[in-house]
Amino acid sequence: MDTIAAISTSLGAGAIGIVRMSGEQALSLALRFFSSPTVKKAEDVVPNHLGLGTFTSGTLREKCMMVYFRAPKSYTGEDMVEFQVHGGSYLVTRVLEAVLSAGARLASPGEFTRRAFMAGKLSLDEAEGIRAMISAESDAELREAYSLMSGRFHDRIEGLMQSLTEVLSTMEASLDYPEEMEDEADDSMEKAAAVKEEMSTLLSSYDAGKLIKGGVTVAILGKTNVGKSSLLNRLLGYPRAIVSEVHGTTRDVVGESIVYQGVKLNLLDTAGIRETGDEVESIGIERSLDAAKSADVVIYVSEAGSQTEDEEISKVKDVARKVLFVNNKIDILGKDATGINVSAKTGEGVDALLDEVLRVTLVDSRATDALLEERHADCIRRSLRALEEGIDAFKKENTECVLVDLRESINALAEIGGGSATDKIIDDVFSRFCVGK
Amino acid sequence: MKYEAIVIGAGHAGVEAALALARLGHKTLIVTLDERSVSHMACNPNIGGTGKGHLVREVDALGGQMGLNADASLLQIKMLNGNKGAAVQSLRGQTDKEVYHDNMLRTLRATDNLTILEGECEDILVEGGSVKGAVVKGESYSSDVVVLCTGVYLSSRTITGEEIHDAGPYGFENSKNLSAALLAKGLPLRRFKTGTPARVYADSIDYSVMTREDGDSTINCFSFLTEGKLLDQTPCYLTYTNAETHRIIRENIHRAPLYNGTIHGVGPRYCPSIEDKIMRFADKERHQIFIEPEVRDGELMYVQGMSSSLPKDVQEAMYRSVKGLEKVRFARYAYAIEYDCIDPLALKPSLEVKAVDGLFSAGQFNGSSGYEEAAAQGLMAGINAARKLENKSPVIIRRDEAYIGVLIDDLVTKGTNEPYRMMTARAEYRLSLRQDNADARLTPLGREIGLVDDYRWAKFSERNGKKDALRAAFKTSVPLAVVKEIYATKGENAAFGMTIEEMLKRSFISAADILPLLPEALRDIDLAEEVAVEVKYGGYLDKEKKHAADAMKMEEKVLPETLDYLSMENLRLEARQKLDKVRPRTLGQASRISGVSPADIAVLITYLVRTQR
Repeated sequence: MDTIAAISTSLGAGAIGIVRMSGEQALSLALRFFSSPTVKKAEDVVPNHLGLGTFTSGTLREKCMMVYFRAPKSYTGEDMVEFQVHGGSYLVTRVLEAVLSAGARLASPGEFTRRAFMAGKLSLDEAEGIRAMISAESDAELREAYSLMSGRFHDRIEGLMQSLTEVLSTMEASLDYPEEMEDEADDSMEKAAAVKEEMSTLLSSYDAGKLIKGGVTVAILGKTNVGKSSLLNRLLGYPRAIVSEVHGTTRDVVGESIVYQGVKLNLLDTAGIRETGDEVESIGIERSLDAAKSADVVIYVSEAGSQTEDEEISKVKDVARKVLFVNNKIDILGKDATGINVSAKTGEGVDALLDEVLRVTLVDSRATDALLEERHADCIRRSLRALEEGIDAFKKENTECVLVDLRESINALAEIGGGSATDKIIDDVFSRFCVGK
Repeated sequence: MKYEAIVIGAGHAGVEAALALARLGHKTLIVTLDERSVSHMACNPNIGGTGKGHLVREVDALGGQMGLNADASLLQIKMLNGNKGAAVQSLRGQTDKEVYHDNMLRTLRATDNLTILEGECEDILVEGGSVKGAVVKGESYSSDVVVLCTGVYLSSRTITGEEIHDAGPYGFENSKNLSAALLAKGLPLRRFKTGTPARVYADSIDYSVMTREDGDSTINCFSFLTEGKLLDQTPCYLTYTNAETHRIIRENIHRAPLYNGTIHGVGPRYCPSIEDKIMRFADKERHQIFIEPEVRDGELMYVQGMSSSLPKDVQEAMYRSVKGLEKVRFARYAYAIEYDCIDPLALKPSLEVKAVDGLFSAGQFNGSSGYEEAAAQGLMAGINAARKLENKSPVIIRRDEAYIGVLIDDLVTKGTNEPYRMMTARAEYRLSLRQDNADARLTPLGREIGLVDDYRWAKFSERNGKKDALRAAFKTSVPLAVVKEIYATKGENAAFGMTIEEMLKRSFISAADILPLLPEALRDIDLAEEVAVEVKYGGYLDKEKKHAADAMKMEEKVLPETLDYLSMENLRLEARQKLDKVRPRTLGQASRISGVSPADIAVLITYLVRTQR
């Protein structure tokens, strides 16, 4: 049995979020991320004991509690690990993503329970509780189905499956009818490559989908005294940051959230960038660049009419994913020909700026399609992986291995919408090719 | 008269069922309308083909008769997909129809415990929900189990244009009374359709303008018991339809029973009539036609690809428009045939009819098509009928064990809306389910069942032992110099010494290349190729094994036969109805029913836990 993982607390609300894993690899996967003064390797972990430590994955570094249940003394009867982290969907999701990218597979609905049942671990009382859980799950599925059907997502997955089915049915037809397919042209691998491209796009749109749920992080950067804090206060609608005529007033990153057009924007005001001898201020500038790095978009503010130096631009562009150039103080300095003209003081142009923020972060990455659940992203990820292996096998001319991979690829996609791949393939063979005697 | 078992029908399913029952020691009666129709090949004169070749080898590995009988009547043999990987290769043999029939009839006659009876079976005797025997020509014969293998004979009619005959295939008598009797017992019957092309005189064909298609004398035959290769092979010939053929068909399509409403039965998509092909694939400029011998040096040829139910005058015109068939004379015209069969969802995976205890069925009666599909089911129905007599649990072959498992599971779980044909595309574990390893997969099971005799077992053990020795030998290290030498013949360069196995993992190294590296006693190219396949598929086989192991857990959970699905409120309505109709044997089977979702399975699981306490 492979190792499965899922978030087992409800997303959003709640002070604590739990990510649960079950399967042979549960502990070894967990220890790739978890460490504590007493736990360095698997032997150090005491079963059934809650231990405090740190969960580290890339830039994520969080205090975390871990508990390990050794098989067969666990809910599923397999090795299980639970991580308890601070609540909030962002953090819990990051933890889940980390273990998934390390090799765990996202559990399908009811899979922990199914495994528990298979291991003969469920008692009557527990079964009663699970009944409630199952109906909750199907409610969630209904909601999900509704929102998916209303979007284009479903169509896109169907489209991908159709393309893959065609690729596969062409190969299957030539294998099941080797003497009859001689005249058929074969563009299978071109089609497969196109599907691969589209899946990658979908996955990157998943990142945009995450932005919608977790919010878009916007860092405001610029030289000192160009009005960054004033802009923040204008965006917030109240004076959050201290504003003064003194250069370098903002020494640390100031963060606050607003909701614009239904999307949460996490705004970060930063220390102005300049050469400085002040140690505290220079640390602040370091942090400004860090904020720019972590942000989904950077608003680079300068005074209207001023010349932005190339060196400055490249410094920001180096670290930021996307940059919007904003000319402030247009109420007194007048508008520029390029960039976005705003006045933090009067509020002119501010909505246009926010629209632009949404456009570059969401629309450009096709976020309209991107209402992806983690479950879907997981299916697409697995599908993509199998497809890549299949394309690889094709290059090595292992036709029958290509079939195995492509089937796995389709089946992973089929988990999103349901339905049997085999039946679709066979239907497709007979509708597209004149085979059979 | 008293028997333990009665088999109705002596086609490809019936003979396997009867032989299995008799060989397992049960006094068996096999009933046929006409002895001349025993193992009659009513359509194409060949055995095997993609997927089907696997079935033949599996039937053979379990101790069935089809492979041996085919080998004894072979005219030509070919490995389809021979240039592709081992997992998709299938054997197909052209066979002499008369020899095939004669041999099988002789085998039946020579088998202990087996009696052949000619006559029409008119009814099945059922008492208190259990089968008690059958009525043949007005006379009652009692038995504890009955196996229905009626093929395409149940209330069948053949159709050639406006000409409709109340008859079985090839002009044989049909069964007139049994359908009504089965319907009265509550069996869900329905109507399927299939067809066959014309038989023409061999001396009226101009072969010189056709492409000659030869067999392959380097490959093995169907049965694991058959020694040696088939050296003397008869050719087939390939020609094509053309624009003129298509014009004739299009102009006469209103006279085609399939298109003017005469035929109601559902036909198979994979076996389309020529008029179907022309109408559905209008842009295809030509279709292949294979001319195949019906018997060795015989007078008749089979015109594969020209199945039709058009009237005789149209058939003559369209056949004669084909290159090489300009002067062709007809011995038998093409016809379509409609027949009654059962909805296989009414069957258990053991092939026992759910509604009648002790009544089994196999072959085209179960909604399949093809000699090989029939034989595979016949064998399993015979085995399970025997086990019923012995109070043993049925043998259910899983999807990861054999194509036989896929075939039967598909039929009884998904049902079918057209005559079901085996295809490799239906098997999800096809890298493991190869035709070369059918014996390793099934002969131990056949031994356990009791159909594998000492001779077959000894041969199997020897082959298996050699394969094990080869696996061990593949771990031998080969010095760099030798590796370099072999690589050089492929235009490759080697940097390290390695084991034979590691060499075989390279796509450019084949079993033949490493044969000289093996000990003298192990230099058997066939076996070396088989074991090399395991190395070449390596990681993929592991993948399949893992999927199969996961599926297995679900197969181990047996669902009580008495479950009242309709009253399970947490199940969606569609799932309730589907589950009630199929009545799956295991949770795994339930999960493969179309219309049953993972959430429904979770509900079932909870239900089970609650009630099993």
